[in-house]
Amino acid sequence: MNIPQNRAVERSQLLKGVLDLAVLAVVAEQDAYGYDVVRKLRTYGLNDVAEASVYGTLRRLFSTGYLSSYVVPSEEGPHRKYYGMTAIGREWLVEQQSQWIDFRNVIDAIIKNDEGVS
Amino acid sequence: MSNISDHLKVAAVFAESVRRELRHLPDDAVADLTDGLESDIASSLLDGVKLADPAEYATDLLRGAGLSIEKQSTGGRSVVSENYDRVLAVFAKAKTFTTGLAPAWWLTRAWVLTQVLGWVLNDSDDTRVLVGQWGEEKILGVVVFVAVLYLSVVLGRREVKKSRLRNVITLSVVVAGAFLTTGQYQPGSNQGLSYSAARITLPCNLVPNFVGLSVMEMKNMQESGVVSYAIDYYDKETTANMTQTIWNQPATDFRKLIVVEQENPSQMSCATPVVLYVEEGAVATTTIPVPTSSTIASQLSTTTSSVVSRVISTTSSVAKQVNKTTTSLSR
Repeated sequence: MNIPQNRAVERSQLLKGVLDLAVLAVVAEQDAYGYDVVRKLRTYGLNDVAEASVYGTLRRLFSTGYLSSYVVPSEEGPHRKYYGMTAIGREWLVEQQSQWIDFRNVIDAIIKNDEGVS
Repeated sequence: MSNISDHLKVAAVFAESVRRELRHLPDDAVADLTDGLESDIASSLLDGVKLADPAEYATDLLRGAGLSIEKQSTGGRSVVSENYDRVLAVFAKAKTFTTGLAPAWWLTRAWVLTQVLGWVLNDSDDTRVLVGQWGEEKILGVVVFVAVLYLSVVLGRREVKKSRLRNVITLSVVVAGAFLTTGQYQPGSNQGLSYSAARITLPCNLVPNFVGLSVMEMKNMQESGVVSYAIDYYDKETTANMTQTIWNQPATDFRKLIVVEQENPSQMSCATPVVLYVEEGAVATTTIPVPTSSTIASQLSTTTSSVVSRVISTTSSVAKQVNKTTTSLSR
């Protein structure tokens, strides 16, 4: 495995832990369908996020009750499945955001050798 | 690929390939995971995104959903069903091979019959049974051969016509069989959820002979998902590609358009199209309806015993219709 491939794998491992948070944050901005979420994540810079992983994540977050879903018929072809936040999803997002910020601060401190930050 | 309908078509084929990769899961789980997938894929195609490998895509989908990526044969699709597909695929290949040999058989039997007639009528002493039995009367021999060949071809084509009818029956039985073997799932293997009912899809490596069916019937099967692979339609006379026209217009517009020729690709997959040549005909060679997922689903209840009894009754009613039609054809 060469270095760029290694980096891609490392990045995807990092992403795995925070994809739920990223997806929820995007849907919290505005209701969105699967590819819409992928597009927004890529706009933020997550270019290597796998589409199908996002769709699977959306299904899982829906199953756990953090997202609601509804279908919008399309005249041009098959229907679109939109996702929106539920109240419990919003609560979980706030909690996760707070945890992420704490975690990020700790990691920042470690990699900068700055013991007094957190 | 430039317009939305092209993208939708590609997306539909790709989504079906992904569903095939997920077929170890119960049908309801697959439907839940892939609901709305066509429109998402079509949107990504519009953005110029290249499609991944369906197997890789399915794995990502499962990982994202937090489901196991291990394929278990104890899921919604049974081992019996997998073997059933394999046996039918071998049967279909053998049938295609023997169908191709039919004209050679018509010629051979005409030649043998001519020589036997010559041997009987001329009381020939020639010990070579299959040649030279007409001796000095070669011209008469040729005339008799042409006449016998004509009868052999007429008889052969009549047999082909009957076999088209049998194809419809085979297709009906395959679809009913697919329903019977895919619609059973024991709950408990997947996060405590239970699933029921069935979505019937002919496997991509199993292509029945569609010759004799109307385009309306074909389109109904495509739209209801019974046939998942791509199909390209061409006008038999002008060889114009009619796929787009057929795709855009209601199925009932093509009631009288009949499939008269079929070309299967050498390597069959969901994404490789089957080519069907169509021709305007008075009526389809048969009027026996091919059961679709929606019609069967509406006719059959979800309990296994009921499914079995009703499939048997549907099959026997089809068989009765076939008997009637065959008898009238024989007359």
